[in-house]
Amino acid sequence: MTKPAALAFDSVSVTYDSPQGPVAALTDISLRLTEGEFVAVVGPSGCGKTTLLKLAAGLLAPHQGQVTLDGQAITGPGPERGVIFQDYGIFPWLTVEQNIGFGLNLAANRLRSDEAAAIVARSIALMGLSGFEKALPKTLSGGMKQRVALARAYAVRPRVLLMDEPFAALDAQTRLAMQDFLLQTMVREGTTGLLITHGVEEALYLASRVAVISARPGRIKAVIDVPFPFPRTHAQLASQDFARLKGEVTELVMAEYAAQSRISLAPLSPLSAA
Amino acid sequence: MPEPAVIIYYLVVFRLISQSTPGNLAASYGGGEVNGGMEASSTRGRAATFGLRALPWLLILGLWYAILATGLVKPGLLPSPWQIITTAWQLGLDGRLAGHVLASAGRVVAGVAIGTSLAIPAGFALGRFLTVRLIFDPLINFFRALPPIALVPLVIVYLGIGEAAKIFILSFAAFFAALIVIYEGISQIPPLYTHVARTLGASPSEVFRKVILPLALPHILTALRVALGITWTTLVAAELVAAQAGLGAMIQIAASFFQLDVIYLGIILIGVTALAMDFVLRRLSRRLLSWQERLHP
Repeated sequence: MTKPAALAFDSVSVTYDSPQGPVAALTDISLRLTEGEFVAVVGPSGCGKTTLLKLAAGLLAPHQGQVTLDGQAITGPGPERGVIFQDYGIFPWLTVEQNIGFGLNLAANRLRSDEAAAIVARSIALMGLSGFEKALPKTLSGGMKQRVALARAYAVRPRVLLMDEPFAALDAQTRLAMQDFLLQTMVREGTTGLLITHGVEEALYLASRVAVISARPGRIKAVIDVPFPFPRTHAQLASQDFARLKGEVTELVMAEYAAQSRISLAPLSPLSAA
Repeated sequence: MPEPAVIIYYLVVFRLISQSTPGNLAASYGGGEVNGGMEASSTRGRAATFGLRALPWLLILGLWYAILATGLVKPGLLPSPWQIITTAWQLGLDGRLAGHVLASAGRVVAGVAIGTSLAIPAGFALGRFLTVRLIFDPLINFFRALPPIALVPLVIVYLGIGEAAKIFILSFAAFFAALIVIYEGISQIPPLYTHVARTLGASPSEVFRKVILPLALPHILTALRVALGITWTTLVAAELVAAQAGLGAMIQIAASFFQLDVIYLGIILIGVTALAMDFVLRRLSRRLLSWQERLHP
């Protein structure tokens, strides 16, 4: 168990350069995640959800405001903030165990090689990847790739886990299984979680609070408390309370979706985060 | 006129190739299994693959003899394949032929090695840094447009007619061919992988060694193959610089004595040696890049 960290966005704004001039992607975002909290962010596509995650990851610097971790301003990427990217980014030239051990062999988290091997072996067992240690990513299914990404992020003991549409590429059953798996892993490892998603049901099932982002320029339109206690079950999804809440949040998101669709979707050229 | 024969030849070859996807190949020649059919691993499947590989060469030979038989070309102007083989045998006996092949192959290997090893760091710098690209892009395109042959007179003036001059021309050709491939390849590396590495705590040098380099390897290997092709093409030009040995020189000398069989032999040997080198590189690529998902494994 690591100590979860508090993640805070304080009046953050981000502007992208586009051929038509600067475009505001996020405007005056303030959101605080307490230690160990799991917050989901939903909103129409193109509203700047991924930008929010890049800010927290340190891959992008805000033009105004600041993002802090336990009160310290975030100035760049770091292993204490694990990221699960939408396409996972499993290194195709490395085997499953080499992928999981990638972070452990970096100078920033250098461990003795036997310690690293022990962590890799443990997470392979925990993630249900036994027998695939030497497999190349091209032979893995989507769900397995995601478990490799999760294991790789957790190997370096992050205090916050940032997830960008992690379930988008999975089939329905694998998605449900992976959601439960993720919840268990986060509870076991003790991490604060920020989930970017366009799935309202997924957000309500996983998070204790859901932030709805408006159409571009993205603002926080509402933050909804999800009253259902953990551990949650998929059966709860069918309850009336859940359905009512899902209806309310979906309505908020769809209103912004309509607004976003009216905005002429000029192609953005995001500033390189490098 | 030989056109109809050529057309029929291409039609036959095209038909054979288009019907010979690995699945069809194994299904029609290999085992009868439905599932195992995708891999032409049975002995019969492998024999069929070999047969298909050999087919175009056999057809060329057939066409060659057919042209000789029809008398469309005067016998003195077209040696028969057999004549070329006997010439190869005679020249091969005293080691002269091997000397020519080795001289040319050595120059090509040196040119490709020098040119590509300079192109790798240059390609990285161009692919990764906008400033470098802005400064050097026009310059590179200027030099790239120059045919290496155009440099021959100047190279003679500055480097003389020795081995250095030939290696220079070949390295020049290899450098620019490899540079473009590496540079384009590096600039297309998806940022996702470098982002992943950085969020796990990788330093810039670790990102380079552990992510950029492995992802650049396929492009470097392609660059080597392209450079090899260009360098063989440039070889004859380089060997015009008063070479005594080498396949280009052999062809030049034979031309002044009107030894058509030797000219043909030289051309064939250039092709065969280049093919052999490319084969080695392809085997190497397959071994090093087994992690890639490919359309044709």
